[in-house]
Amino acid sequence: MLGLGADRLWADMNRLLALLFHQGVLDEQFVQLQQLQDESSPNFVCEVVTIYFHESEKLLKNLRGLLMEREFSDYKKMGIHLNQFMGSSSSIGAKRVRNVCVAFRAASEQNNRAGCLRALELLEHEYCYLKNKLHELFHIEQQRLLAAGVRYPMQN
Amino acid sequence: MIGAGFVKIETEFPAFSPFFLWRVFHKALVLLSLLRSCGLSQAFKGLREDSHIYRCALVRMSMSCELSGLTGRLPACFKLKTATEPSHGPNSARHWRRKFLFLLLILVALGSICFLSRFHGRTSRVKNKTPNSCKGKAQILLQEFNISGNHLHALASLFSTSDQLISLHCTKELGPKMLLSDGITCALRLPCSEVEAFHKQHRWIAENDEHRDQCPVQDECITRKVGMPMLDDHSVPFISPSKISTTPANHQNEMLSETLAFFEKEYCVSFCTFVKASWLLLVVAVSCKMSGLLLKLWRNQRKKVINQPPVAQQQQQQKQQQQVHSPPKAGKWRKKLLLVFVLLGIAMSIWLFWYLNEEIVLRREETLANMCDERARMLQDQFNVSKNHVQALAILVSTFHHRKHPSAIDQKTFGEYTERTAFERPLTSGVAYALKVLHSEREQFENLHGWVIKKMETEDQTLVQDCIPENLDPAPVQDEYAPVIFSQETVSHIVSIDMMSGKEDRENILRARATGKGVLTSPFKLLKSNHLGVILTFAVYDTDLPSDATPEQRVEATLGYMGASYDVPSLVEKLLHQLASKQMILVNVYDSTNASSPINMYGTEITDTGLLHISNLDFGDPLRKHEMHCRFKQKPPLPWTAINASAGLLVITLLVEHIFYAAISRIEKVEDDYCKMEELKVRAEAADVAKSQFLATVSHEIRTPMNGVLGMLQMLMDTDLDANQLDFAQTAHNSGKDLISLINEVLDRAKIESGRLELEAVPFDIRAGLDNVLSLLSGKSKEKGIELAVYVSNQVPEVIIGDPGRFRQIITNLVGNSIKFTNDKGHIFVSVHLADEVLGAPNNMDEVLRQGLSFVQDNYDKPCNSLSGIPVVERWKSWEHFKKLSSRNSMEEPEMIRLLVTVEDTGVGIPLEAQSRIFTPFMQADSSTSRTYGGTGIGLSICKCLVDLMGGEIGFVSEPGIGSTFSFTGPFRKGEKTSLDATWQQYGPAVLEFQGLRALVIDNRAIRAEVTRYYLQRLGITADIAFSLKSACSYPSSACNTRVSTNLAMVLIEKDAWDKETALLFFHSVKDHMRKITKEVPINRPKIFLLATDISPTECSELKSAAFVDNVLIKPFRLSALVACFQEALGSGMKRKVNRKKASDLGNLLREKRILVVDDIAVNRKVAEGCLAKCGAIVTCVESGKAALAMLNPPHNFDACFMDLQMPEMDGFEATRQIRCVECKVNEKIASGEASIEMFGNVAHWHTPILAMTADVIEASIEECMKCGMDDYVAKPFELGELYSTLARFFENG
Repeated sequence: MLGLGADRLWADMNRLLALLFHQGVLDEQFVQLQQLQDESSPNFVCEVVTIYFHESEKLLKNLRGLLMEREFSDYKKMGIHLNQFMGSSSSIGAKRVRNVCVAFRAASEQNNRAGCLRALELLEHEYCYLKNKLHELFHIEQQRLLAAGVRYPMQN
Repeated sequence: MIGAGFVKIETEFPAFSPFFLWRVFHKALVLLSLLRSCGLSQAFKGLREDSHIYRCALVRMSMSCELSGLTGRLPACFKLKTATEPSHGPNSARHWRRKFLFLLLILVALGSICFLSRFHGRTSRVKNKTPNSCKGKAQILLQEFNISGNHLHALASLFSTSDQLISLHCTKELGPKMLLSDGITCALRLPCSEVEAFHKQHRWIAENDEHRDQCPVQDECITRKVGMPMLDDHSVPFISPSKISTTPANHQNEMLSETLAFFEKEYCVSFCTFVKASWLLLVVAVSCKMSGLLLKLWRNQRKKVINQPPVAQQQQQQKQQQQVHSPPKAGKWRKKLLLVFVLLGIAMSIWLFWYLNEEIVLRREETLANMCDERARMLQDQFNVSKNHVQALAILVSTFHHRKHPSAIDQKTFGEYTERTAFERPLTSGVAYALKVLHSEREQFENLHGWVIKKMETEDQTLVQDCIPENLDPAPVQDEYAPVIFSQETVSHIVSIDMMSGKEDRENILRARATGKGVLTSPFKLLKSNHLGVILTFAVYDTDLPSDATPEQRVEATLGYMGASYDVPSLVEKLLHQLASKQMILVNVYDSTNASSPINMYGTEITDTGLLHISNLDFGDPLRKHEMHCRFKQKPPLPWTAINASAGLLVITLLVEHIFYAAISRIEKVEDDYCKMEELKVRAEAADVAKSQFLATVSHEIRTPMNGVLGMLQMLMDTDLDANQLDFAQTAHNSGKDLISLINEVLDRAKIESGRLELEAVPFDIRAGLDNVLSLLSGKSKEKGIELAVYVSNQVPEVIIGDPGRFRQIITNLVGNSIKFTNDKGHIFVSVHLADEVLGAPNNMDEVLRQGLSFVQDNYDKPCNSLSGIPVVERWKSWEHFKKLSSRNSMEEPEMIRLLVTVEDTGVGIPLEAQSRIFTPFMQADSSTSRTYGGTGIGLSICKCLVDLMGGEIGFVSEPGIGSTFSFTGPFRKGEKTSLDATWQQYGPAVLEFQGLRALVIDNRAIRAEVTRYYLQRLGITADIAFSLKSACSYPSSACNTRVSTNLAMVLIEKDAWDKETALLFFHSVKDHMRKITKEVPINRPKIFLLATDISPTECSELKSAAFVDNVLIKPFRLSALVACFQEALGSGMKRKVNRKKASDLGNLLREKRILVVDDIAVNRKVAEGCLAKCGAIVTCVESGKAALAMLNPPHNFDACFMDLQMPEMDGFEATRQIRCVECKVNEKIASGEASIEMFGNVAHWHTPILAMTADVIEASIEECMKCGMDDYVAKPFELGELYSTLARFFENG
């Protein structure tokens, strides 16, 4: 469609991104993030996302731990965790994760443990999905960078 | 179906799939439970059946909600309308009708009163007065005349009976009578004076006496014409009646005029009362109207108060309470007023009755008095006339009997004379003459006459009737006697009877001779006639006595006595017969000499009929008193006039009262209803808002689990599935996606309705935005083979300020809608113009607009000049109803522009009957279950909501089978070009690169060519248009002489215009031309591009390999794609430098600025750091509020601080508060000189800009930010533009 010749990787990457956008996994913020990446910080997106993964996993572990406690009552702490999770998710534009977080937080505000568990499950799922897809994306991008040796700027 | 699908899947899945399957199922269950908890059984059932029906169910659910909202709102609206326009439409007509009726009623009432009074006045007066006055008077006149006529006649008969013609004395004595006839002749000449004379009858008699002196003169005349009087006498009676008949006629005329005047007067009086009454009514009516008006005014005022938009709900409630309280009060007041009015009306009618009745009674009394007096006077007159006669007889006797020797009169003569002149004394039953005979003369007398003086036998005179005088005893010896010597034949039996022997007669005789005047007896039964009667007695003297003679002298001179008996009943009877209306009135005549027991002389038994009038009668005898009593025969009739008038007034009053009462109760009812409606309206609105909120919440809640469903399905699809399974999963996924999009739409709508949607105002590039939208939708359109194009007029500024998201949403909805309803062929064309362009003269329009408007006019001449050549609707019709299109009104700022966006398609069109409800939510043109096109029908309503929210208008025109065009306008502000260059920047160098190039567009359709040109122009390429390859052949050569051709860098050929042979020809011409030119300057051959909507890869590669074309451009264009393509083709080798002007701008602003970022989330820190660092700032990150506090303790060298709000331990608010606190202290110290400026880094006033970073941009939290000392905020996922504009405020001046 873009008529740039047979840059399959580029197309793949775009397709993947488009898919993610289409599914609502990612949103504009991710594009913003990509725009921040330039020569001065060629791996900016990757770095940020790595930090995100790192932090998210910690948070998820905490959340699961909190929810698995027998006399679970610390909804407030969970709320803080969720806020952090939400904040970081929205920063990288992980829309669906963020949405699940919103639901999770609503459940926790209502002290709805079953809801929380469900939401946690969903969150974990979404997170996994996002992680997989982003890994895939970075993988392709690396390949592309290697293959092309040139980097096209992002498009809107 | 999903359920079935699941079962199927379960049977055939590989080992690992149950996990995913379970997840999917679980999500679906979550969804179901959620829905069930919402109580949406419909939706629940629908979902169980299959997801499609589920969707429908949701639609139905929301539709029902919507409908209930609508119905809730509708009556309120309706109510409001009716309340605000009470004086319009059928209502007002009714009002007028009522007014008219009221007026009519009053008129009818007044008319009837008028008629009644007039009629009554006329009839009663005519009845009462005319006979009374006019006829009566005429009769009197006639009678009087007859009497005098009779006199003459009598005199003539006297002459004829007595042979003696020595009538000198006679004539002398009869002078007065003759004079009467003389008077008659006079009267013949001067009727008027005669009438006067008759009126003064009494005086006449007196005058008669005076005339006696003149008699001798006349005597001579008469003696000389002895024979002549006879003739005269005969002629007079003949002449006079005729004359008389004229006289009364004259007189009657006079009478008539008199009565007329009287009527007039009466009429005036009655008219006055009528006028008074009507004035009263008018005043009442006017006051009623006034009060009605006042009421209306007052109500209007209140309505105004009510209609004032509620500032807050509390106030509204208060007002409502007031409303609830006030109407009954007002109603009470009104009712009291009405009651007073009614009482007043009743009092008025009673008064009117009393007044009219009084008048009637008064008039009746007056009438009675008039009639009675008249009768009395007439009676008196008649009596007097008879009396005069008797006196005349007495004189006759004295003259002819006593003064003549021998006597000229004997019994026979007397009897004959009296008999013949009896008609002159119609009231007397008989006259007789008695001679005064002293006892000493008795014998001599008896001898002379040959009979003895007889005595009246008994006191009872009735017995005398059949007595023969011969049988009577001779009178006893007395001093003197009064034997009757002459008598009328009728009473001849009393000859020789001594009158002195009767007690009554004796007294009478004594009194008569003493007074010398006529004397009456008291009434007694008369002889023969058996009627009550009186005897009149005159004395005959031998000499003419002086008027002052003493009684003794009179007694001495008495010779005899003339007596006449009067029959009073017949007298009165006769009199009354002469007068009309005798049947109306009852007359009694009394002798009231003895006041204690009056004697009834005439009249029947007294029946008391109320009114009584007494008139005195003077019969010339001062000792006797007579009275006439008059009564009406009937009791007074009911005063119908008064009753009618007052009843009419009462009825009118009550009617008016009824009308007012009805009006008041209606007003009350309406007010009550209004209050109720108001309450209902508030409730409905509250329900509406609650519904919207509920929808928003529910949609959101549904979305979350749906994401899970979709994610799982996606993952399932990524696993190793066979075709069948993949199909199932795909179907489920698609359904889920549809559901999500539906929910999003519902959410949007709910948000808009609950007023939570706020439009932002950010600068954006409308062209790029449209490109994005179209490229998003191009997939779908390509599938259907529809051509998609966009055109933006070059008068539209590059950057406008508005809400790009919502703008895009509208466009997406409209275009998506168009795509949905367009099949296989045709196009969808989006064009953007300034609203002013459309209004301007056709010359000022750009090409696309002009053609769009003009092909309509000459569409018969040539095939349609639309984008795809398929006829389209007349698009200008879609905005012809816009109101704001033309109004460059007061809010006109040069910054404001109004965009007109039209989306034209060649779809199936909207059926005419559905066009009215196309913007109603959930309404589709075809909402039957068997419809062709799916969808919820919410899209267009959202568009309308959004456009309304923006302050624009939306409209459409559609013809089934041809297509539809939707247009909307929206106000935007012009943006500065520099304020938004981020996206544009990417093409910056490319644009520069293409600047000045020239292109040739070959396209057989003008509009399509214009669209292509529009894209090229955006890149700075000047484009020429040729409509066919053939005409294009001549282009290079025609352009040869100009420098233009040298720049011809590319030729764009539309695929429709492409055909191989001509193309070859064209290429040759181009090549030839180039060869010519290349001799001079080496130049590249223009690149050839083929433009196509849809082209197969094989065809494409074929064309490319044949070196016909350099590349194929797929439509719809994207600027980036174009740039890339051109770059590649032109091979300039220029790579786009990564050069972002925008970033450098921000960089300049932020370069070397030290910025502190406070956030507990590492990712956010990193992102913020990256973002700011890109702008050249030196970023320091800390992860807690406390750390930030430490860092920002003056002196420090940070220029700004970005602070996250939600942090553990110390959140952003608290941290900011503390920082501000510290700064404050330092500032105080510096100000007070406690600390030198140097100590704090030479800064006199410390105030570090602190900007909040927040994910939720809610007003409340923003306010709180400002409260605790923050300077501004940025929404959390950073956006460069926003960041820039926010920071610019702090660093521009610093």
